[in-house]
Amino acid sequence: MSGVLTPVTIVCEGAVDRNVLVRVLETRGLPIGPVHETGGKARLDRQLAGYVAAARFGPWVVQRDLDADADCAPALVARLVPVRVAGINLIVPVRQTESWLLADRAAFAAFLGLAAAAMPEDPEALADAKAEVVRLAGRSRRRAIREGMVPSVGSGRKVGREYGGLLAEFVAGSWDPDRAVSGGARSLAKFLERIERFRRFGHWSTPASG
Amino acid sequence: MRTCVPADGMQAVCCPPAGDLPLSAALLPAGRPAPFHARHLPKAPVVMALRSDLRFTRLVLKNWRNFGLCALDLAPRAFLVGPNASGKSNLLDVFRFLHDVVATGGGLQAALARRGGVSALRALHARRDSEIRIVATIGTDADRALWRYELGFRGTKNEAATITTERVTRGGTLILDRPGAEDLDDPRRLTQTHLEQISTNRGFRELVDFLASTEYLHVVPQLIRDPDRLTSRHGSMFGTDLIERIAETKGRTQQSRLDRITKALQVAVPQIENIDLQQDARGLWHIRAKYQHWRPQGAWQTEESFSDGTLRLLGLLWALQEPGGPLLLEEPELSLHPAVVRRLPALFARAQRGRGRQIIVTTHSEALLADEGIGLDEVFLLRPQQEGTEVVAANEMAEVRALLDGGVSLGEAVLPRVAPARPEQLSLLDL
Repeated sequence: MSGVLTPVTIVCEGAVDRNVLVRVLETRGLPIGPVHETGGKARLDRQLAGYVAAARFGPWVVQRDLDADADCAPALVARLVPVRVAGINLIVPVRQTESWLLADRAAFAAFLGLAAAAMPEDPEALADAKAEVVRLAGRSRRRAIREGMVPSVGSGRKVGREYGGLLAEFVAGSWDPDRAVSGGARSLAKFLERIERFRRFGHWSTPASG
Repeated sequence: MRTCVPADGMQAVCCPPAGDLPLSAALLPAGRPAPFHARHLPKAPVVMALRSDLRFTRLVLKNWRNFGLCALDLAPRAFLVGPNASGKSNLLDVFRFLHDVVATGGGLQAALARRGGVSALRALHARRDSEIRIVATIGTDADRALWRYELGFRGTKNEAATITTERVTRGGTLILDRPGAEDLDDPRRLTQTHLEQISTNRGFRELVDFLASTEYLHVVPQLIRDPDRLTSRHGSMFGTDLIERIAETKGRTQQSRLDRITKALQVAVPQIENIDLQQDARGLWHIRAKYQHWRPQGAWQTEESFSDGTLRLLGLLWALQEPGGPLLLEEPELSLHPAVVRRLPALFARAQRGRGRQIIVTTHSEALLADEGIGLDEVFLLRPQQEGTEVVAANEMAEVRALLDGGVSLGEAVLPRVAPARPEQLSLLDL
């Protein structure tokens, strides 16, 4: 498509999702607009109607993990955005954005300080990709990875104190979306297809990537 | 378990860019900590070296300001949340009090006088038992109860406070237990702690040095901008000597810290290109920043023109890079954009990687608590009750865990539990 593309507004659940979405859009040369980091899916779901309404005025990408909230991404999309809106692109990583990182197997294994063979074969088949990342980090040869990404005893959280910061380093420095698609990130492949469509035609075609 | 403990428990305690903000990445710790150097008013004693991994691991209080009886198990990083006037700053003040007791020119009586005396300190709820007692346990990850210091005292408006208990335990062994026979012989001895006297604290200097190393920081931009800041009656805790501290740090250490600060500041203030120091004709140091500008050379501005947020962030970034003991931060979110605030916990965690400086923070910020790596054992809720403020660790609250499991952020889960009951009354007032 000729002309200048309108900056894309991003909505995401957390810091890791933000970095991944920004990296994807940057690698595809899309200008990035405001970023809404909701701090979890509960608030995102609550505010979705507002995002949908605002998407009439420009392109929006909304990321929301599938988790165990539906059997598949299309089912979750149909529930969250029953009516199609041209401006909004609801991205549903299966089942968490971390599966897209795991899918860039060699690079992520090197970052974690593990052998590539330790990485899961099909990251989108994992029930909890975030837990898998934390589990793998716990086996890392790198102390900073082990201590930063794995929650301490008594923390009560799923991730360690430096989880977001360390993954930001990986995403900005090494992660490659195309390699991740080759490594089995099928929900990311749909996102990339949609971005390609947006670059060519100026719209996302359908409201969801699922 | 609730953190409030029974009275006899006191004795039992022994032991806006698009991508992620590279704020934490800008603060990479460099090497081992330099010899400890406390900078306070009153001055801390000269300390040659202090192991960097010592921290407060547990604190038990009785009748201290807002608190009836409470206990906290402290991680290397802690966040205190609570409604206004619930006692967040008063809790930080315990650590400052212990610092003041051991500081040069300090001592128990001076530390009490600075706070208006025992009667001003004692909890209003302390009707029958008027004793104030502090039990601080200090240790490392490997040995959480390396040191334990217990101090009890009471007093009236017109008399010097009297020590009722002073105990030092090292590795479970009691090495000081007062009052002893000499104290009973000469009761005036009980107006001074053994902690504050060089002649009596020889057996526990590490404990003394640790308590002296605590630093409280609540940067007040107006005070930093004041050209007469060094003669200000306000102490360094408000950042009045920040620029001098930077100037005193020599050579490559200063440069590498300023380079990291520049990188981090650029996240919040992208127009900043460079930072340096300059001394004026009076000998007063100024910090300057070069801002991108429509002029090709850019424009230099000194701290007098810096925004509140820039100065606060600068003070915070410098303190995080300085070696030292526990760092007490009062609402670090003030004047900062939430996108920056959201990355502060990661910044703290990263800064702690190399030098292990304990960081205890008060906050009202949902953005600050949004970091999914904040442990529930790092968050303490202060809730005013009839018998004094109750302190509850977030990991003791089943409903908080349930909310997090349901995808709610920590701030959203915790802050309503420490909010004022009737905030709507404020909007109904005719002013």
